Amino acid sequence: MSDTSEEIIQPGDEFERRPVPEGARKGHGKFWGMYAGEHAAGTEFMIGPLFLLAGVALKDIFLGLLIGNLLAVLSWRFLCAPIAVQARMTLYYQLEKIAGSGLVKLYNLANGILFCFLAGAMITVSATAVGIPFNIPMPGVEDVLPSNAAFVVITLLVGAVIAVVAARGYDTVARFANVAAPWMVLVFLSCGLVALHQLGAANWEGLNAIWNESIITAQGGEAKSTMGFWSVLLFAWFCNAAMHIGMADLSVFRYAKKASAGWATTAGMFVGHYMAWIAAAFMLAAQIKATGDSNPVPGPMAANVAGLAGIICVIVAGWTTANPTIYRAGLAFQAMIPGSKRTTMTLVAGILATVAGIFPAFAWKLLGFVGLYGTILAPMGAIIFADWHLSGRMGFQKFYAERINSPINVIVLLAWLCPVAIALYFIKFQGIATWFCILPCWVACGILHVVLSKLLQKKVA
Amino acid sequence: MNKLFKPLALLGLALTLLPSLLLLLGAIDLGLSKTLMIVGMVFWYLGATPWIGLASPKEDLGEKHNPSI
Repeated sequence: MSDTSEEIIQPGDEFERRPVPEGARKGHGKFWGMYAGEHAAGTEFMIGPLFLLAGVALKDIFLGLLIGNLLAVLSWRFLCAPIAVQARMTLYYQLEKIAGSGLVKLYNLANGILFCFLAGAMITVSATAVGIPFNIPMPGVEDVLPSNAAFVVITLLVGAVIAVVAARGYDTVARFANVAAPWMVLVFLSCGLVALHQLGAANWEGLNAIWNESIITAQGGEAKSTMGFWSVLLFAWFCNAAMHIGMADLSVFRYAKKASAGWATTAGMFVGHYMAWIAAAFMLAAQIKATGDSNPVPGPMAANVAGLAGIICVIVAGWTTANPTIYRAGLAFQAMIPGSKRTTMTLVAGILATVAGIFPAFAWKLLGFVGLYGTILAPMGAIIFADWHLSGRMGFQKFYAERINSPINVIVLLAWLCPVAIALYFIKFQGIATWFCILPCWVACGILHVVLSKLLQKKVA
Repeated sequence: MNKLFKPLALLGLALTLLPSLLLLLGAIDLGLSKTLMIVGMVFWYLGATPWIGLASPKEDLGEKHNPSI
């Protein structure tokens, strides 16, 4: 693979099927800005309040999120970024060499479908804010199905706008998101500070007491906790599992000059996740204290602390998350169907996401969904990790699908699906929380890839 | 024109954060805080859209393939 600084770089070249040349690589600053902006998103308005509803102790939120987000940063820095700057390939191109183009399509299909549900939850988030001026009744936390026709109409309209804009292309929305990001970060911070003021605590003990009362109110008089310290830590660590240990951000860090660019994820994790999640959780606590209403509906929560600016922030946050997610789902679906138009596939993704958005359950169950997302997709990163670092040491061939010119590397198929299938069984039938399954799946997948590769690979010259 | 837009945008950011701090200090009430945040929002978008949005093409760092959570 040639890699010279004299290589001519065409405008718009995304190097999808070749290593990123030296002249196209970016300094660390670009990554800090990107991660800070990308992780102050619509999802943050949902995740924080869901911790309160799950009865998480306040100290567990502060400490669990601190350590979990740190582990996420370390995963990006020491697992993902080093491979990215050595291989310089997108996840999809590198995976194709290992697993075959057919398996990449299957991965893309899973990716695309999960993206649609994620985008659907964000359409719900935006719709809860759009509906406020029209006094639309909001869905409650117990609502799985749409609660009223008016909310359905608002959601359909919001989803339609988002889908059409996404179909027109990535750049326009990306530019707007770039503009909105610094403002959104400060709105999150402001919302948290105002909520803290509304809670009226003079010290940590007072804040803790109010927090516990909020949990009791939210749970109808009980104080049951379904998430403890380890759940919070693992959730924070693996919230973006598909990106770090799942290696999806190979596509990002292949542009970095050095692996130390991986530290830029600190901006996303501690600004976008740590601060924003705690701020959003405080917003729900403040709402409960003021009105007794424990429904974690982002629009009214934000209106309570930040008025119109808060409402606009919820709309923008949901939109700037849903739009690129639908765009990405469209790309994934397009890759599944050769010859299909990106615009058409993006609209298909948009329709799926909009329909999902009608059902508030996807938003209320976002914690579990994010864990499921990581459980299904992150283990592929173990295959990439094992293939890159262990093939030489353990005596099996790197990039085996490319070597044997096969569209499906059955070894990868088995190594990926077997642990995931077992995990899904435990999640569905044994009630194990999804975030507990991600790491065991990843490790099992990596081990299986090594063992099966050694046993089943045929020597290719 | 950036000499106008950039300070306007930065003033908008200040008016987004400062009201909450003043509220915490008891210097203003919630109503004024919300009003100032609206002003801040307007200033930010009026200033930042031409300043950041038109300054340079957004460089793609490959993130278009990965969702943000």
